[in-house]
This record gives sequence, C-alpha cells and structure tokens, in this order.
Amino acid sequence: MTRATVLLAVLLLVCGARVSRAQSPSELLRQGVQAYQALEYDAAAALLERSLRRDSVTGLADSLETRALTYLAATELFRGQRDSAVATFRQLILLNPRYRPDELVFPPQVTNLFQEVRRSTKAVAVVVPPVTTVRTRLDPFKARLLTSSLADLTVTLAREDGTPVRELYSGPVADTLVLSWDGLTAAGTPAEDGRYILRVMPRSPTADGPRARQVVLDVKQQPPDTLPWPPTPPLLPERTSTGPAFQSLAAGLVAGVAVVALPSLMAQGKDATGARYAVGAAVGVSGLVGFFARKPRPLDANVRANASQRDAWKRRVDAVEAENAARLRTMRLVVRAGPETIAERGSP
Amino acid sequence: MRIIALLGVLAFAAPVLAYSQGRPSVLFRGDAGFVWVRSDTAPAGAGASRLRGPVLGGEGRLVFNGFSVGLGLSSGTLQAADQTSAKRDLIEGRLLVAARPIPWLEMSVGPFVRAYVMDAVTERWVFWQARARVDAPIVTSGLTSYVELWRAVSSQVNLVAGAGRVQGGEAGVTYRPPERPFSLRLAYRVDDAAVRGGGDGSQMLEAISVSVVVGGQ
Repeated sequence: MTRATVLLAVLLLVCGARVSRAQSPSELLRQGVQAYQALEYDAAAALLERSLRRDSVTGLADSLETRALTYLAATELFRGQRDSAVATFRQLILLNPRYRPDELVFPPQVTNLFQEVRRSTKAVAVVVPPVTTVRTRLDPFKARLLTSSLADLTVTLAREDGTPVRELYSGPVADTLVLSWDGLTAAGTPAEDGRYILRVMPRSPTADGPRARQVVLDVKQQPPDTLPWPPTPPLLPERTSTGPAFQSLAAGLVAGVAVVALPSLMAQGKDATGARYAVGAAVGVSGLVGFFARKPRPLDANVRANASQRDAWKRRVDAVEAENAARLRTMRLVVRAGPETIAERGSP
Repeated sequence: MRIIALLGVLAFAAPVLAYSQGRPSVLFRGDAGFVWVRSDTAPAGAGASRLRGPVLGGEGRLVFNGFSVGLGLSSGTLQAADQTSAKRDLIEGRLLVAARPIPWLEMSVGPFVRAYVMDAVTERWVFWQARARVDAPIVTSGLTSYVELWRAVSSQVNLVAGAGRVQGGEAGVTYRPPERPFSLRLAYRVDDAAVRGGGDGSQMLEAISVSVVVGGQ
C-alpha cells in the first residue's frame, strides 16, 4: 500500500513537471509562432496571448515579450482584428520605443501598420546600468533615453522628497539620447548619500504625449584614496661634525693638564719648577689649534648633492599634493539604479 | 740577574724581528733639553742640592709590525742652582722593547741607567722600567699629544741607603709638518726616585726637551 502511494506520487511529480514545461511562456511562444507560420491564426492568437499572461511566475524576458507582441499583432491583423493589432503594437511601443519589426520576417502590411501606430504613439524609455561608479567631473553616470518618435523632454534629478537637484536635459529627442551626469548638484558639489529620482517627462504634457518615466537611483559616496607623502630622502651631512673638533681640544687640554699635573702625580710633595707650565700651555694651545682646524665647516659637495635630492623630493611632494587635491575634488559615487517605472502624475 | 733579564727581552724581540713580514723602518730622534735635578740623597745634614743644565741626546728605534727595539742616550753637565762651583755630569742610557697592541697605546719595558758623575764619585741608578704611553691625535696624523707613565719594576743605586720606589712620567705634543720627512716634539718629563730607608731622601728630575724625529712613518 505504502509502495503504491510513493510510486503514484513520483509519477504525478514527473508528469506535472512535463506539463509545466510544456506550458511555459517560452514554449507557448514557440508554439504560437509555429501556428502563425502555419497560418493557423486563431490557435496562434490563443497561444501567444497565453504566453504573455503576466500572472505567470516565469514570465517572458523583455526580448521574447517584444517578439510575442509582434507576432500577436501580426496575427490579429491577419485575423481581421485591426483594432487589436493596433492596441498590441501600442503596447509593444510603450514597452520598447525603439523596437522595429524585422521587415524580412513580417510582410509590409504588418510593418506599415506598426509605423502608423508608432507615429501616433508617443513613448519614452530610460535605460540605465544597474551599478555605476561615478567620479565627479571625470567619469559621469550615463543614461539612454529612447523615444518612439520625436518628443520634447525634460530630464531632471531630484531627491526622493522632491527637492530638485539638477536639470540634466531639456529639449527634443528624436530617437536616442545619451545623458551624462557628472555627479554634481546644481551648486557644483558632489551629490550626498541618499535616494534620488531620475525623471523623464514631456516638457508640455498632453493627453497623447508620452508618459513620464522615472528611475530610482541610490547614491553612496566613497571617499577617495589619497597617496601617501613620499619619504624624505636620506641626506648627507652638510657640515662636518663637532665631534672631531672637541676631540682635538680634549686631547690637547688633557695632555696640557697632564704636563702640569705630572709632578703632583709622580713626585708628590716635591717642588717642581715652573717649566712645566710653559710646556703645558704649549700643549694646550696645540689643542686649541686642533679645535679651530677641525671646527665644523660646510661640505660643499654634500650641500650640492642634498640640494638636488631636496629639489627632487619637493617635486614629488608637489606632484602628490596636486594629485591628492585632484582626488579630493573628485568624489567617487556608487550609483545603483532601480527599475524603470511610470511616474505618476503629481508625484514629486 | 739583570743581564739574564736583558737577554730575555732581546730573546723576545729577536723572533719578532725574524718573523716580521713588514719591512722594518728606522727612526731617529735628536733631543735638546734642559734638566732640573733636586736631590735629597746626600748624607743627613748635607741639605738638598739643586742642579740644572742643558742636555743633548738621541734615540734610535727599529720599528716593525707594531713592535720596536730602541736604544737611547743623553748627556749634559749640570750646575748647582746656587751658582757654586759644584758640577755633575748627567748621563742617561736606555734600552727598550716596545709593542703597540692598538694604535693609540704603546707598552714598553727595558733597563734605564742614569749616572751623576762627580769629581770623586759616580752615583749610578739602574731601573727596569715598565712604561705605558697613550697617543691622542689632535689633528689627524699631524698634531698628536701623548702622555707616558712609567714605574720601575726593580731599581738599584750605588748609595748606602739603596733605591726605593722609582717612577715618572712624560707628556708632550708631536707635530709632523705636511709632506716633510721629520716631526717635531715638545715634551716635559719628571722622574722621582726615593731612597730606601733614607727618610725623606729622594731625587726628582725634571726636563723639558725639544726633539726632531726623522724616519718612521
């Protein structure tokens, strides 16, 4: 009994997986395209509509969705449902304003209808990279504006609470426009950490104009790395040491004192002559001579060598200082973009 | 006994000469000086005598590999300081063996003989000296000061009382003119010799000297 139950459960799982795979959106799309090519338009319409259902957990990717919509619009056109075809093409243009049906795949009546719908449908889209590292003034943040037809647009950047930060563009866009933002506010300072709204909207909102689009940008500052100061160069002594001079003085004075003190040391209690003072003085004077002969004096060769070293070091310091100042002026921002959404009217 | 010791010193020096790999150099020194002698060694009641006079002398050395053997001699006539007619001839002789273990220190040993020759008698002192000399350059290799102390390890005198402690010292300065083959020396020395059992009997000799040293380095 138990073994039969387990076997039944396994069979159900296997069969369920097969059924699930057979009805996946991409499979439905593939079957719908086959039906379209077999001129079975009703079946094709049913299959393609099922592939486009939004409640599917594994929905179509954007590229497959545009393909499904194109085939569905063509199918509806050939089924005589022109209004449905127009509505489907409009949905396609809103999804991707730059999309064009392949003229080698679809006949002229399909592509002509598409162009007609495109001219009457004003759509705009914003394409941004998910993560961008911006170096203010150097490496900008870039976004692409896509329009289905000529549109007069304004692109603004604002804080999440609606505080304007900067207007990035205002003017006509015929097809594509690459926008650059250098990471600075209107005041010229780097954008602070926080959430920003990149909004694209028509300059003169009309009922048939494109709907405003927006992308949420999370901006985070990253302090720049600065270079360490170059180490001070090993410098040669620029003057001779005072040690030898004092050694000379000490040698002379000690010997002079020794001359004077010898009778006291070696012949205690005896009256020595004054001759020793003359010799002691002479020896002491020789110490003074040695002191002045070896007194500290500049070492010109070392002074010149050190000057060269110092100049080179100063140049390195200046270069590092300039580089660090430039780095500090250039803040690095990490910009993370959210999905593109339709901006509600009246939203900040 | 002293002769045996002298032979020992020479025996010590001979192998050094024989095995020295460096080329020996010869050094001569000529001295001119003035000597003062204060002697209390006369019999009791005679009082202290003071003598002074010029001396001339010299020393020759054979130097090799930090060792040297030298022989010195000086002589002069001393007059009594009180202008009496008393005179003594002073004769000093010295033999030494020296070693310089480090550049600034020289150790030497050897016999030293000093004789005061008077009309009727000669007073002769014989010491065996141990000497230590320290050289301190004032200006490198040009001007050098030195201090040398010595003490007699044994002494002998032909006085009744006999020789007691004998010691002395010398200090001065040596100047070698640049690119000249000689050097000049100014020195002061004092020797003190006590008489054993003679109460306060002693003899002190002071000397200043100017020397010319030729050869060597």
